Amino acid sequence: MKDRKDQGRASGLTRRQVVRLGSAATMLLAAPSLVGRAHAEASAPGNVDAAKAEGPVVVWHGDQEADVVEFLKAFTEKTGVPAVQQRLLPGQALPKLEAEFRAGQTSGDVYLTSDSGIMEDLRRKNRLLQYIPTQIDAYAPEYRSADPGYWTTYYVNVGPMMYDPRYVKEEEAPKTWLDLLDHKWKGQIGFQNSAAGTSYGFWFVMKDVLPKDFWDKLGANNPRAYSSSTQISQDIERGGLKIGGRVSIFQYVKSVRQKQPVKAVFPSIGVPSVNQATGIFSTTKRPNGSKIFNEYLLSKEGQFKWNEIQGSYSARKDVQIEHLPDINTLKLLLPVNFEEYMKADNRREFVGIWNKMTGL
Amino acid sequence: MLASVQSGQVALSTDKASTAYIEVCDLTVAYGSKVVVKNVSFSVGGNEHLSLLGPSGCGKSTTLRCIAGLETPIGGEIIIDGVPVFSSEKRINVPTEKRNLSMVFQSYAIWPHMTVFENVAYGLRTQRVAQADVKKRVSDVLRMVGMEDYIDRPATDLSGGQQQRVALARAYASRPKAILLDEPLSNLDARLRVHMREEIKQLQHEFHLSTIYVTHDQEEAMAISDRIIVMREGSIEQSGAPLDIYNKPRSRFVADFIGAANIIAGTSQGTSAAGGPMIKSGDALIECAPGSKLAAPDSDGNHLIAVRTVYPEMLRDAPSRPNQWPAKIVRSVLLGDIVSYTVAWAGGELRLHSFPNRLFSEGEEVQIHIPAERAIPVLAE
Amino acid sequence: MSSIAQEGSVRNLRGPNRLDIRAEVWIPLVLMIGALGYPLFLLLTSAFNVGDPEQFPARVYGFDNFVKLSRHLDWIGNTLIVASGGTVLGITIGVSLAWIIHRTTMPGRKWFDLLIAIPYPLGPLVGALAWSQLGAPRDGLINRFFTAVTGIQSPLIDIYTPLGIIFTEAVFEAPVAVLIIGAAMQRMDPALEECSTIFGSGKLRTAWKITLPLMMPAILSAALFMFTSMIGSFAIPTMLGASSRFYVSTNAMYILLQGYPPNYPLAAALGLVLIAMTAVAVWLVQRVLRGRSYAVISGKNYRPRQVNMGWMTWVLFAGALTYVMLSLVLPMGTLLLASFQSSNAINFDFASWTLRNYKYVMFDFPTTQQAIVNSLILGIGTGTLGVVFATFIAIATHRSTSSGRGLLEQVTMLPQAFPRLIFAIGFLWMILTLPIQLYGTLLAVLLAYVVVFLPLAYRGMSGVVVQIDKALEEAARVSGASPMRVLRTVILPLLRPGLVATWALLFMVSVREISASLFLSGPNTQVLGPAIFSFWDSGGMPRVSALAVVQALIILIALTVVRFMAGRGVRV
Repeated sequence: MKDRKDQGRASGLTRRQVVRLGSAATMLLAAPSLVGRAHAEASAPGNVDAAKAEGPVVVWHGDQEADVVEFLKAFTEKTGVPAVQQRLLPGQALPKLEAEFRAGQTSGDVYLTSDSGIMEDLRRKNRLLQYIPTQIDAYAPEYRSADPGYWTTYYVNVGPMMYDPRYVKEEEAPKTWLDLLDHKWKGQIGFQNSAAGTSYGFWFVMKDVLPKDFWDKLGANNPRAYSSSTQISQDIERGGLKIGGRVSIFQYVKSVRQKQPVKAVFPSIGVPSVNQATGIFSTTKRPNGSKIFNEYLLSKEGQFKWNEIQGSYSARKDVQIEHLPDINTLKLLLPVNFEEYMKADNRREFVGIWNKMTGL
Repeated sequence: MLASVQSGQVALSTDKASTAYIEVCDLTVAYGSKVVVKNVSFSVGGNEHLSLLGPSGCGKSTTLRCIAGLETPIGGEIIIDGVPVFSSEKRINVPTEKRNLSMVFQSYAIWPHMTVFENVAYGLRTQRVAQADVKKRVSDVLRMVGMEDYIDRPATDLSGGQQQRVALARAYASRPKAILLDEPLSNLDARLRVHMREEIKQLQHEFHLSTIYVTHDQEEAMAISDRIIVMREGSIEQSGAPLDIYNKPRSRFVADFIGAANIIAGTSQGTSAAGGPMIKSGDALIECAPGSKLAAPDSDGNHLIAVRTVYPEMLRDAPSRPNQWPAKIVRSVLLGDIVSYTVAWAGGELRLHSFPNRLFSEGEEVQIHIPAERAIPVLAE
Repeated sequence: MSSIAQEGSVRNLRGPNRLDIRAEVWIPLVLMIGALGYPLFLLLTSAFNVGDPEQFPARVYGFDNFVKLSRHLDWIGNTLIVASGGTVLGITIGVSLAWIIHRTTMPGRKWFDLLIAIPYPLGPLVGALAWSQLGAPRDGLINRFFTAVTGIQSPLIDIYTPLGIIFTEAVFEAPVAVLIIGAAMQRMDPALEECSTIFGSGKLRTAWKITLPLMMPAILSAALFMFTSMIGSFAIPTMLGASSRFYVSTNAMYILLQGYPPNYPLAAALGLVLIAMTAVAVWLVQRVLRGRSYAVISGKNYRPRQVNMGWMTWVLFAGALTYVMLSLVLPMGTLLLASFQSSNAINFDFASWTLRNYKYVMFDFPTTQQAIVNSLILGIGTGTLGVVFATFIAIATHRSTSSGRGLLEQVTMLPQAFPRLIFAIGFLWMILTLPIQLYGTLLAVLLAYVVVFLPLAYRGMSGVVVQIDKALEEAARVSGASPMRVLRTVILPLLRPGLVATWALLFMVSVREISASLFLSGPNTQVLGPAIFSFWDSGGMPRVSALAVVQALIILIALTVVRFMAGRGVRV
């Protein structure tokens, strides 16, 4: 949506402008209390009975459906509030959101996405409901919206490389990103395609860390694009792909749990990661249920449940999951400049580069 | 003239042909458990036109198709030009394409994706006739049937009658020795039918072809055949020259199928002075053809005779004589070229066909006379 | 006679130039043109949109998108390669099988007729899924078997190649060709071939010079159907091609539209190019057929002449058996195997086999449950609505005296020219701009399905309507029945077998559909095709296989019920 551009201005103050200034001033004076009240409102927890009356909370996400379903079961068990999930990639979600926002009502309630840029964009367009969970302080500033409560990181999607030592000898395996340029990996490196938020995240953080010609050179190695991280992991297991150029950390954990001998590589120069963010649509029909959901998701218990199910890193320091290397030993590269992250031009540039690289 | 044939005997043809060109012996065809042709035997000489005549389902088309090789009998032998092309005993079954026959189909089977020329030339091309010869022969044969103007037209442009002529042309183009025709005229209108059958007859004479012609139209068969085989329910009812079959039907079926006949049932009354059997039907004592014998009686114990409708005479006054009775005209119908009379007589009711030059009115009292030689004993079933 | 009376009588005459479009023609015409034209219009405006990509309708126009497209000619080239190669292979298989089943005396033909009809409704999604597990170079079952038997390490086949894609497409589309060509074979006068043998041609020469040319219209018709289908095919190229950097237009469009921000204009431009290609193909075939539509295909039904192929019969048998193996036995067997597994790799350790996956997809996983239910609803809805519309239009075009009937028929068959994926995108945009709240409803998917499958339904019903002897209706009229009564008491009962068969066909194709519903289904409207696909994306092989088996079972049950009820196959 484009902002309406202002019409031409007259010089000097018109009566209208005085009134405007006046009200602005009044508001500024009242601001702290207003903010305080807003803050208080935003912290008001959802009412369980009201939530049950609202009907099942609709959670939109791009994660593994099976994992989300399991988590929702746990949520309902714990809180008594029913919930349903819908897996949607941004391409499907956004047109629907547009239409619904225009109509003033969304069918979805809670949005979980790997693209924190989209979340920021929604926040700026006043499309997110502010709700500050009670345990918000467990989240470091880089893991939540600047004004807290609009969106918060429900897991950190760390993206290491991955391979199976049955097909790739440990000595030969890449240790850092530049090793991917070795020609012996030609045609044997897998990434997700340009539609994936994590791919954009990868490029966005790594473009400042890696040499400018890295992408072209990587393209010369004919990497393959997959539609999901699961596909990459499966292909590695079956021996069809040697190196997962970037896989989501939970793929690694899941494979390990299934007793597969996979190895993950966390280069010391930095491991690209994205905030997987959770936010509530401002036009939700189920504010109570949504608040209760986020409250649970972001609580220590909920975080443990979710990350345990999926096999991923929580943004909370007090939640540790088995099989994950200590997060303190890793150098995580997260997008921080959301202005840049959101820019359509950057995204278009990424799509061009990434598509070219993967042969699309 | 050829001797008439009873089922089971092989005919010997004389005069018109030296040896039989096509011989069929003991042919039996069955579909599953249903036997449709039962031990049929006959032969056709070179330059002889034989018609297989009968109602639908009598097996005539099936027999023809067996000769062509399009159907496989379960028993019997088929010999063409001295060479057995099918023998169930010796397990011979020469495929259709090697039997060297020509055939005209009821649906003409003109290939719509070819021109008239290509249709007619098809058989010649298979025979590897030289290109120049092909052109000449195709033109000649098309001229014969009056279709030379259409030589390069696509076959889809043709009307029914035109297709039929092209089908004929195609059949003759390959200069066969024998030609099979499966009800080729049944899809044409009456006028065209008459015209075409004359053409077929003409071509047969010209090319000295052995012809087997299947039809259900008795008028057609009578008009063009040298010999007719009447078939019923898979067997041969009677075989002979048209006039023979007409004048001497063997059974009630044949008498009814060919021409129009009165079938009179009566009890045997001994022999007449002229040496023919006598029967009494109703109040009439009828002398039958001298030298003939009454056939086996029907289920009621009556013997049947057939009297063709054209043979009884109607007279206003005539001296009394055997086989003459008073009669009263019950009904008189003008059918155009003939008049059909129904008369009441001592033997019941009789149908007569006569010409319009002498008209009798309904209710008129006349004398009818049945010539003894025209009262033919026939089999009942 | 007074001049007034004369005038009156003249006025009552309808000259040939006077246009008289009656309601039974213009109403469906307007509806169809709307349902096709509006999405097309939106696609057009988006394709030429060089301003903000997300603006509908666009404000700034230009050719930029097509210029960008020219840098991606390999998308279009690959699409043509897959569609052409697939069509050639598919027609070869189709003609051979149709010949074997309908024209030879090979034993077991009736069984093969039944078995060959199954792969098509099972669908390309199921096929691609199964073949990815059969033909994967490393751990595909066929290659494992090959290695185990011969000891050779390098794989026998690699399904993840353009050739593999062509093969899979052909195998699963061939049954349509068998159906179309087989129906034509049954309507051919056997005398045409018999006559050829009379004049000296052997079996092969007759087949080559007579049968094949006469079958050309049906073959071209089937080829066109296949070609347009494969141009818009999504499941097979995506599941078998993406990992080998082989992109066709459909999966390129999918990626363009899935990302953020979605590149609508480029996708629309690509879509338009595909539509153009399909339209050209349709036009070409129509031109070729115009001169050659033979009265061979009459309303009459002949008993087709069957050729005894002698010793070759066993070769043919082996061929037909191979097809059934490749299209039905191996794929379904593999999916079954995979669905019992507890891990991603297929192993034969019976102890580890489980039925958990079925329990999961049918009872535990709400998405799939909803998908199954919705697909059944859609199937029934598409079948019913499709048959109703198609019958109405068929009766209008064949029995009405209104003008514009030819145009109505053309427009009804027009959706063939739109690859379904692209049409669905346009349809989606149309829904977004409509004032009624259709977006995200099952009704929207249903409407799209009905439009997309109308040509198929019309083909079926039209064939049946044409066969009804007009004299039957005229006799009823003479006896005093009004047109409605004639419809109810004469026409509809006579149409019944065709109605049932067409309904069943629509049911099956809608259950197996993915291209048309991929973009239209969404929250609350899960449908099997996209659900399986999304599951393949994120779930494990065993669960996806179990879901695919469930879909296959639904279709098989539908097929059986129909065969039982109707007795005869569909005539398309």
